[in-house]
Amino acid sequence: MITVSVKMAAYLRRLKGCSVGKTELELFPGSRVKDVLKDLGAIPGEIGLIILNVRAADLQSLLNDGDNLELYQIFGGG
Amino acid sequence: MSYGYNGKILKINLTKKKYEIETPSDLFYRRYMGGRAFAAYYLLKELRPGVDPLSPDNILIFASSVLTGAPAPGIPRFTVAAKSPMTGGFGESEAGGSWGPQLKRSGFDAVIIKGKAAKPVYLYINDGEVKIKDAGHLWGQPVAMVETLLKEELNNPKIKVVTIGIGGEKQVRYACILNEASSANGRNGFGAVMGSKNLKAIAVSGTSSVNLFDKEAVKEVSKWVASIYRDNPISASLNEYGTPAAIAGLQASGMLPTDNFSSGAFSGYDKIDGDTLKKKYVGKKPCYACPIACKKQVRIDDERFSVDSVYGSPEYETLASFGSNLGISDLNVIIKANELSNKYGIDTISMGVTIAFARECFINGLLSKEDTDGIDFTFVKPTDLLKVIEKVAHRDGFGNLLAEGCLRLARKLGNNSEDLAVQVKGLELPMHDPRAKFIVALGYAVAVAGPDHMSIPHDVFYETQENINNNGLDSLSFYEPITDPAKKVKAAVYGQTLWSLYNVLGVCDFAYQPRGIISFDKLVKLVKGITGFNTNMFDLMEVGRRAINLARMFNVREGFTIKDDKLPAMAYGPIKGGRLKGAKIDKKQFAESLQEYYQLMGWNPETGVPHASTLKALDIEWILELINK
Repeated sequence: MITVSVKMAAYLRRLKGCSVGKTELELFPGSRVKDVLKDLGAIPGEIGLIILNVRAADLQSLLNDGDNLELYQIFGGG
Repeated sequence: MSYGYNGKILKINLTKKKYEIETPSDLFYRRYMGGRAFAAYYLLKELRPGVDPLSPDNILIFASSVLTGAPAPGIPRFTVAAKSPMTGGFGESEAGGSWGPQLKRSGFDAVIIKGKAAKPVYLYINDGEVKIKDAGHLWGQPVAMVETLLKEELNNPKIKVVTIGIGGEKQVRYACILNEASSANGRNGFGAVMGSKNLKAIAVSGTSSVNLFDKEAVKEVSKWVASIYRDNPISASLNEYGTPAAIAGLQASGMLPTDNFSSGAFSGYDKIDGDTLKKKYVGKKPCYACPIACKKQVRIDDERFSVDSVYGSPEYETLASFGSNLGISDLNVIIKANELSNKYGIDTISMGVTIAFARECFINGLLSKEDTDGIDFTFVKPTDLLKVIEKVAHRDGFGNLLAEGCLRLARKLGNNSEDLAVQVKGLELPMHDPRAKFIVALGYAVAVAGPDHMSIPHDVFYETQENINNNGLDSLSFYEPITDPAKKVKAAVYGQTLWSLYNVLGVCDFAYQPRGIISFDKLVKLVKGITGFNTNMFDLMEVGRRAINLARMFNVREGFTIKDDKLPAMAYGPIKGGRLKGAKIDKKQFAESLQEYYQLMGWNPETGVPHASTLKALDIEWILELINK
């Protein structure tokens, strides 16, 4: 198993275990960001930005042990 | 029998103290539908070109739509329009709250105001009866007080009131109009136009409900929204956080306007973000018939000052324009600044960006304490911002210069300071960096009423297959993600047309796709259910397209050319900090995209003027006859 830390703000904090804005997840090796989102219960289309180890990433990005993932809501005006 | 609309437009002449009622044909309502289109229609027909926007010759229009007042979510909005004191062109600004629906109930679809009253007045429109009443006792009153006083004076607790504050009375160029103390027709300075007409407020009430063609269809849409809005994260986030939820994501993306747009990241962002602000929420302020209730009320505990919660919580634009864009991370000061802005009736975007301009000039030595009435414009002491807002509202000292907006101030200062003025056509940019969002950049340059972040859906909605599949854009013929700026013109054109439709219909961008949860199918169902019009998205997009072209022709007639469709100097210099450090607009790419935009719109790419054939296809070739007279 690999361990990935996930940080998120605002409404994403409702997701499984993320109420303080940060959580650690145990995943199968070979997991991708999309698997994390599914696991957490994120709804398709609600994520606007994915950052993996400080770099912009996407749903297909592969995760490794010790990775830091940040997720942000979509926001387009207001 | 008409459904959705009254068939009556109220025309008031404040100089003559007279009014008349126009009864346009059903075809008029079918073709123009409301909001932006009504406004552009009447401004083209009845306003002669070249007038001073702050003179009695300007015409001020309040327009609802064929949908307003129906008991359905996300359609409470109405448009205020006139020749803009900021741009000198077509000016419009929409607001939510409850005034629009109540105007409908009072018996009228729109109010058109000409001339100037000899002394301050207010209008009272109640079940078809129209009175022009003395407002001497209201002049000088803060925004929230006006509604309270009028309810008492008219012995009518059901009235809804649009009002100006001291800002509008003093004709601060970007003064605004508010209803319910926190729903603002914010941009373009219509508060100043109202003030220039000696018009303090318009109170409306009525007992007629909107005639619905198919009650069941309307109910179905309402029921669906009620069942889903708490679970769908797009609406649920607005319900819980409002737009302040955006701060963290924009910071991480490197597009949070900081220090007069010089950077895209702010070190103090976590002190002003959604999670921090949410702790101070004490209530929600829903618009008429909408459960999403994105607006909030706040309470603070601060020994330096108190805040009247009636004026609402700052939303994203205000958080950024008084916060990161001024280098201020003192959240209570931003909350107080928001309260003052609403109390005095002043646009938080234009005021914030004008102050940010002055701050950058101050830091660069173009302004000194001598010029700024002794105030340190670095805002190292954040409460100094509150002093500045008081001065702007009262046009006091340096506030009198700030009250003119950043372009006019820059022209006074000279010294190439215009390069630091972040504006298009004289109107300040909102809190979305064009260097980070190419579609928004195009939108800023060509938007009919000056740079408007809500005139065009943002780039992010087109950026991933997931987004497109979930926000309805696939049904507007976007089948795959778009990330290359060179491919964004179609998105700019179609998106702008959609949100033009929303401005015509008084539809809230937060409630309907792509930025909201209600689909286009449901929108069509609602329009049909309310009005009985045999319509669909094709027809409705044509309604949106017609409105853009009406407004564009107004601007053509006022002398606007393609030279005015441009970006501020800042767009061509790099973002100086954050994830997008170094990003800038490519001048050549932008110029090419602009040409492509004109082509796609059916406009002459050399002049930016709509082709006669474009106007003809939209049944508005009458404009050419009008202009050529």
